[in-house]
Order: sequence, then C-alpha cells, then structure tokens
Amino acid sequence: MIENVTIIGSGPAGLTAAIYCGRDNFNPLLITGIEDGGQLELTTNVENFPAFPEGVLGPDLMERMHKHAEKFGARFKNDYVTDIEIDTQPIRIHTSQETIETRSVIIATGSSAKWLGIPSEKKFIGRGVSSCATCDAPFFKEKDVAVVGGGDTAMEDSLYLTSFAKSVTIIHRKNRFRASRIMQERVLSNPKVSVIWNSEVIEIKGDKVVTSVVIRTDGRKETTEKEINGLFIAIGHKPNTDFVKGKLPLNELGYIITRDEVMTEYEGVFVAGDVADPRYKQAITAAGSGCKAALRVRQYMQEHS
Amino acid sequence: MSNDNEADKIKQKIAKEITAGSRPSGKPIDLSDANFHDTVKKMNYLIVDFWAPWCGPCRYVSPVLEELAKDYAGKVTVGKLNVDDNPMVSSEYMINSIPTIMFFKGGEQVDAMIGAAPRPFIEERLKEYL
Repeated sequence: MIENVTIIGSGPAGLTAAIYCGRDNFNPLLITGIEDGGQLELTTNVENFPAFPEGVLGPDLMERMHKHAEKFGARFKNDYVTDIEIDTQPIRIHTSQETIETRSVIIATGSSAKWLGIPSEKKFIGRGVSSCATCDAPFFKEKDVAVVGGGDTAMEDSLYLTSFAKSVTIIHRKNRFRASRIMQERVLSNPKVSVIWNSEVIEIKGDKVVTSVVIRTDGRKETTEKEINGLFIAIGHKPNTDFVKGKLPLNELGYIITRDEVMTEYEGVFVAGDVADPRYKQAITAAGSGCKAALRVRQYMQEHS
Repeated sequence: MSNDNEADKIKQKIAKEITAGSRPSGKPIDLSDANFHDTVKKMNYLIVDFWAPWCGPCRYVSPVLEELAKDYAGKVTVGKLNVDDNPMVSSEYMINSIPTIMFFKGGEQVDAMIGAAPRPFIEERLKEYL
C-alpha cells in the first residue's frame, strides 16, 4: 500500500497538518515519534494560544488536537523514523519497525530539549537531573533546586517549581534573561527565586542522587559549589533533523532550510513547524505552518493525480 | 442454580490465581506500597510503570504497557504504581522522574528506563531482558 501523505511528528504542526489532510480525504498516516505530543506535553499552562483566555494545559491542548485529527481520519503510529529516502517516488520512510511508502511527506519533527553535555549529567538523569519540570517538580517538595537557562522555558519551569520546592536558584550564563518581560517579572518577584548571573554549571555531584553543583562565574578559575537536590535543564532546544542530515539542506544550528516556508527541492517533501523555525517556535506558528504544508500537499496531490 | 455456583467458583479461582501470580491476566496489575514487595518476589518477570495522573508523558506510556501486558501475557507481568498514592515504594526506589519503567527479574531490579518512549523502544529493552 502506498500512503497519500505521511506526517512525521505529533506536535501542533503535525497534528494541524493531519486535520487539514484528513479533511481533504487523504487518510493521512502520522508517525508520532519518541516524544508523542511534542514539547507541549512538557508544559503547564499555555496562556498565548488563541481562544483560551483562561489558559489551557499543554497536554490537554495536545489531546484535543489529537482527537481533532482523529475525527477527520488521521491514523496514528506509535513509532519513530530512522531514515528517509526523499529522492524517489514513492518516498520511502524507514521506521524502527517497517518501511512506509508514501506519495508525500510532511516532516514536522520539531525540536527537543538540549542537555548541558557535561560528563556527570547523564549519570544523574532521573536521579535529580531533569529536562521536564512539569513531570518531575512534585518530587522536589521542600527541596532546594536549580534551573539552568534564561528563556521562557526556564522561567516557566522556575515558576512551576516554586509551588513545590523550598528554593529555586536560576543559573544563567548571561547577565540578563532572554525570556518575555511578563515571565521575567513573575519569576524575579517570587520570593523563593534567586538568580546566579554570568555562570555555568560545570559539574554535578552526588552519590546516588544529586547533592550539589559546581558553578563557574564570569569564566573565573575558582569555582563555587552549591548544595541542591534537583537540577532542571532549560537551555533551549535542538531540531530533530538527524535523519535528514545530508539529504535536506540544514542551517548552522541544524534547522531545515526551506523554500516558500514549507517547500523543499524534492517532489512531495514538505516541512512544517519548529524543525524549520529557529526564530518563532510557538505552538500557534507551528500549527500555522502545519496548515500551510497541508495546503501544499493538497496542491501537489491535485497536480499529480 | 448449581451452574451459577459453579461459575462463581471458577471466577473466584481465576481471581485468586491472578492475584497469586499463577495465572496470566493479560492486563496491568495495580501495585501499591502494601503489595509491591510481595509481588516483586513472586513474579519472575515484572515491569513496573511508575506514574502519576498529572504527568503528561505518562499518558502515552500507559497504553503501550497495556499492549505489552496483553502480548506478553504469561511471560511478563506488568504493574502500575501511582507515585502520589504510594510514597514508600517511590522513595525506596528513588523515583525522581516519571514516567520511570523498571524491570524486575527474580525479585531483583535489572533495568530502568526514564521518560516516555514509543512501543518499539520499550519492547526492545523488554526483549533484551527476557
């Protein structure tokens, strides 16, 4: 069987594309990927998605989008893509289980949280080191935690952690945050929060679980050690483009370089969402881009039917 | 009437066997602070899903484990432990991150996975462990 359209990714871009392709009767197949639901699964309250004046929980928003796509005939495969052949027709998508042949594909694999990359980090993932405050914050009731980062995610994580932890220390490598003003203000006015500026975590210490971090400030030689029980990493994201490396052009940060927003040089190969967006990275822009890709698929299918 | 009694007896026997671990139910069993250690000791192969209702990614792991419980019925027992309701087991195993999936063999913990993952990912680890 040759699929009409296969969508890779289950965040707002992939699911919006699935809704549009479903309504076009293309019976889309969606491969969810390792992080089913995408980054919004890891958020708390989303306050900037239109039509939700009271806010909406990220996982709830994704569940609704999932149901919405399902309603129009999208089929979901809980699997991940290992390789893709884009210069053939049909296009061939290799997952961990099978090879899918498809007339068109929308790559909407988004981006994933970055880790610090220091040696002691891996050892403590799930033992005090986390990239998901919304998953793990309740384990740090009345404990001291630190958050690394200075963007909106770091602010959101810090605020969420204040509902559980005794203290939240933000460690940021610059002397000001990149986050939106409203988030910064909320964080900085919270009495549980303190900030260590111009600093990076160079080592994580502990026996079985994290007990402290070693911090270097202003690039100085001498370091300081801070006792904490939890370390939350919120230093940004890297696009999930390993499987298209050498096949599609990528920019220096690894994002796919597109033409006309959602097009590529290959027939039937479209791109949507954060995977090609180093700039906006919003749920609503990803959804919008998923819509554009789906409309391009419609045009492509009409021209090639 | 006697047929009903007979049926009841069979039902009770099955229920007993399921809780005793001698009959594969094909469904995840609920674990708690109270029954955790006994269950771990009793089951040859036991996978435990540490979860909580507020955890988004946990929602994606649950159906995968239900499938695995069905497909591996008789070989592997799948258990679910709500970390909110069962703080003793959670702190004993130092659960700091959910979902965590732990693999027990002959009463000993032999492997653990942290974070949500699609079925093939989990199944691969499961096959390594069998």
